Amino acid sequence: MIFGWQGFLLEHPDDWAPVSLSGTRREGYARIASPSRLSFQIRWKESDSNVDLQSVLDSYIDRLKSDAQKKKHAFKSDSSHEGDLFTYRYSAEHHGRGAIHYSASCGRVFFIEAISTKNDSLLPTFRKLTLSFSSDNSMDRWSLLGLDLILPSKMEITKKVLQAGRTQLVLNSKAVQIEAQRWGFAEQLVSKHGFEQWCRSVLSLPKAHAEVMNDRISFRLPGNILRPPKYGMAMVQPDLNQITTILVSTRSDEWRPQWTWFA
Amino acid sequence: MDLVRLAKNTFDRTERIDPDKLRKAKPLKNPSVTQEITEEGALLLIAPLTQQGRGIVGALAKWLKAPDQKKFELEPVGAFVWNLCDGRTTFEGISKKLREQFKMNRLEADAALLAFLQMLSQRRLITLMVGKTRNANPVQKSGSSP
Repeated sequence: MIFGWQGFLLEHPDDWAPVSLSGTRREGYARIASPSRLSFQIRWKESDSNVDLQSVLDSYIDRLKSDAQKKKHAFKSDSSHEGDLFTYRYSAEHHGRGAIHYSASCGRVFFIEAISTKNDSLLPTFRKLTLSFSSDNSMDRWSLLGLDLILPSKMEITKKVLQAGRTQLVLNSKAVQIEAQRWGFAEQLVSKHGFEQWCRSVLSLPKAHAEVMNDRISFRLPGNILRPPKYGMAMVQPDLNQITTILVSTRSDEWRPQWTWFA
Repeated sequence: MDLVRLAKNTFDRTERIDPDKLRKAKPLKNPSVTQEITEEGALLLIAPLTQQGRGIVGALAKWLKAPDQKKFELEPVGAFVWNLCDGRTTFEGISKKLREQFKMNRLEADAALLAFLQMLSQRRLITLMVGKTRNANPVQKSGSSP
């Protein structure tokens, strides 16, 4: 399963899920947890290309050591580097194995780390997840908890709702606002309310012009002086029993939504 | 605020359950709850009310012929879970079947199931059985009627 967030993506096992997401594109943190003790965390921060990765890593290890000492846990760590990739591991209250690297294409430093509450072997998990990690994409993939979209890059998240059966992200840039939603129980929703009727209600487009194509529907509501035009799109994915919707408010033709945005 | 929390903890008789125990808990229907299918195909749970209040309130309820049962209509997903509350299927087992049937992911199936079972438990429609033995105490005390 793909996890795509703030311009990077990685592939994780199907029963893992994101449990903590914070920060912005410039700086942030994400954690993806397995049903057991293992989890994977990613930290990122915007940096200059001449950033000294060894000193960034040293200060991170120092901080972990100081936290361990405060909690009176024994702390062990070691690190090494091959070319631009610095790897490290540590053991304290938690055990971790990670890597730090600078992505020139997006100008950010990434810490990617597998952790466990016990002394499990972290190397296979770390290798698998790290190999699938990528941050050099021309478009941003926003993929979590069933929502999976490929959108033009460098949009900022202004709202996220992660509920059982519903995932909602609101993304903004200067010229556009995009509201993306993923709803579970598609079969039950469609049989109860009807696809078009349900979409109109969820997208708040009761009077918009609609075009229906099998499992897809698109809406267009002309704007006026006060309000930009709105474009809605919805797609039923029967194999996943879910509906994905996009609502775009923009005056720019460049930002009209496209079906290729649905991954 | 702390006093409020202290009072709540003192008088709240609901036992807290740790996540590991919860995964092994087996929800069991209250045997006094009956069920029927409505004309629209929804599942209707009918729970008897043995007590209408005491003293004047009880007498007034009796005089006003207040209903002696409470009805709960379940959506298809709720009905699916209700049918699995047989005292044999664990929380983990129900979650797995939910994921298979409705193609939900693990996290959302667990969260939705937990909220739904808590709601059923608060209304005393089910009891969550924990522990290895059959005689283990239920997590929440459940009377013979909701």
